[in-house]
Parts: sequence; structure tokens; C-alpha cells
Amino acid sequence: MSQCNLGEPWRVQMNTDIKNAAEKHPNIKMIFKDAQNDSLKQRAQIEEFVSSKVDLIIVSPKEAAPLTPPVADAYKKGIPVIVLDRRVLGSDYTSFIGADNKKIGRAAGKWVVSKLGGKGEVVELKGLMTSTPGQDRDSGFRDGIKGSNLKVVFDADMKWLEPNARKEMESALATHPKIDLVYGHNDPGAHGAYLAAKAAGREKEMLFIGIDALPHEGQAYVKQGILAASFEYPTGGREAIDMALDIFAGKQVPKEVTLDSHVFTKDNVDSGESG
Amino acid sequence: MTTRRNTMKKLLVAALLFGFSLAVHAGDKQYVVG
Repeated sequence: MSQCNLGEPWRVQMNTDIKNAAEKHPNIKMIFKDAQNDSLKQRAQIEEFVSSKVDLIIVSPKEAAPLTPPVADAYKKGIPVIVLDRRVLGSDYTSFIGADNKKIGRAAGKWVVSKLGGKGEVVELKGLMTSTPGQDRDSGFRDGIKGSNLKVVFDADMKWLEPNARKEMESALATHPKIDLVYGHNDPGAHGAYLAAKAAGREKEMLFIGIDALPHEGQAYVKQGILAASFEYPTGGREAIDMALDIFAGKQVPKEVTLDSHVFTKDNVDSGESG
Repeated sequence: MTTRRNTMKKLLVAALLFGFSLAVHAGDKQYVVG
């Protein structure tokens, strides 16, 4: 399995999910590689898998364009390739498994409308806006609050990073005496905003929500009462192994699988059953 | 005569079990996922 970058907790969780699922099947031997955010390195890893004649490749690509040729080459040589989370170009792969960021953003927007009774002032701390997940989490949220009296009074690109989110939130707090809710495109962003509000003594005036819902991050923040909600961004790790088993059994698999997302709140986070 | 027949039966059962075990093992192919 070639992971584009293990510097992000969500991607570490993806590998953990794959490992845990694969360990239940003694006939599967996993080889994990970390491309360390380097597309050339990831290309080489896929080429190495092909030359060592693995039975199947799972890849979560860093970038679509540079990873498309090695994935297509593996696929054309008869090695099934499951692409996780980020896409490659064209259709020379076996299956793509990923979540729908726009749908998750829309669910977050609708949840906020319901929670705030259709009106209020919102701060949006965006993920990297040159990335499609950032764009989709923004546009989906805007769709979700459409028709309500919710206003996004401050937005900023925190590039997925908690320290940036904290800094941007300090600006929001300085310029807006009334904030009802902070929507972070990821849980670290929402947590950074919480820390800024806490430092200003204003954390109880507003709610904080984020996306990803990792067990030791977003879900933990919900348990601690820091976040009002965290929307799961599933890794697809377990589903990739299930699909690999189907492929090994000679079954047809879908070209695309869109993963369901769930919301964790204080009402369900302790039971482990998301809503 | 009966002893020899019993021995043959035991050998046959053992051979069948061995064959079955081989078949099960052959179905348990190992897969490498990279």
C-alpha cells in the first residue's frame, strides 16, 4: 500500500484501518510504503510493486497527474489497483473508494441550521482552498445553509493546520463581538479556533464543529465537550481490504464506491454509534 | 483376514483425510498487497 504522506493523523488512521482489516485474513500479506509527500517517490513505489509482482495495489495518491501513468501501467499489466481518497486521471484503475466532501459539507451546513434555529453568525475556517477537499467542504456547507438566516461573517484559509486556525480565529474574535458557531474544515482547525476563543475567555459564547472524527482527535474533542459535533470523513481502509478479498475471489467490483459519513455529537460519541 | 481389512480401511481413511487437507491448503492461497 502506497500512502502519499503519513504526516497527517487521518492518513495514519487510514493505514491503521487497512492493517487491522488485513490482519483478520491470514492469507493477505501487506506491504506498506510512505511516499513522504513526494509524487516521484510514490511513482517509484508503485513501479516497485509492479516489478515485484504483487497481487494487488492499494494507493492513496498525492497528486493525480504524476501518479496516473504508473497506476495505469500496473492496471494494464493485470494487477488490480484500488485508489483511495484522492483520484487519478482517466479510468485505468480497478476501483476508486472515497468520501464525498461536498456531501459532508452540506450535512454540516444543515446540522448548523438546525442547531442554531436557522439564524446566527458563523466563522468558517477553511482547509487549503487550492485543494478540492477544501473547495468542496466550503461549497457543500454554503449549500447546506442556503435559505436560512445564517451568515458567514468571517472566513479564512487555515490550510488544514491548527496553528493557522488559531491565528485566524484571533482575527475573527478581534473583529466580531458576536460569533455563534465556528465551522472548521477539519477537527484540528476547529480545535485551534477553540483554543483562541478560550484564550480570549469567549469559548462558551459559541459552538465549534469540525470534520474527520478520528477516534483520538475529533471524537475525543466531542467527548471532552470542546466540539459540539464532528463529521466523519471515513478513510476507506476497511472497505479497500473487503474489496481486495472480492477481487481475489473473482467477483466483479464497482468502479467507484462513495463512503457514507456520520456525525458524532455528545449524544452518541460514548456509545461509539454515530448518527 | 479381518485385521488386514481393518488396516486397509484405516489406510484409506488416512489417505482421504490427507487429500482433503491438501485440497483445503491449496485453496488458502497467499496474496501480497502492496
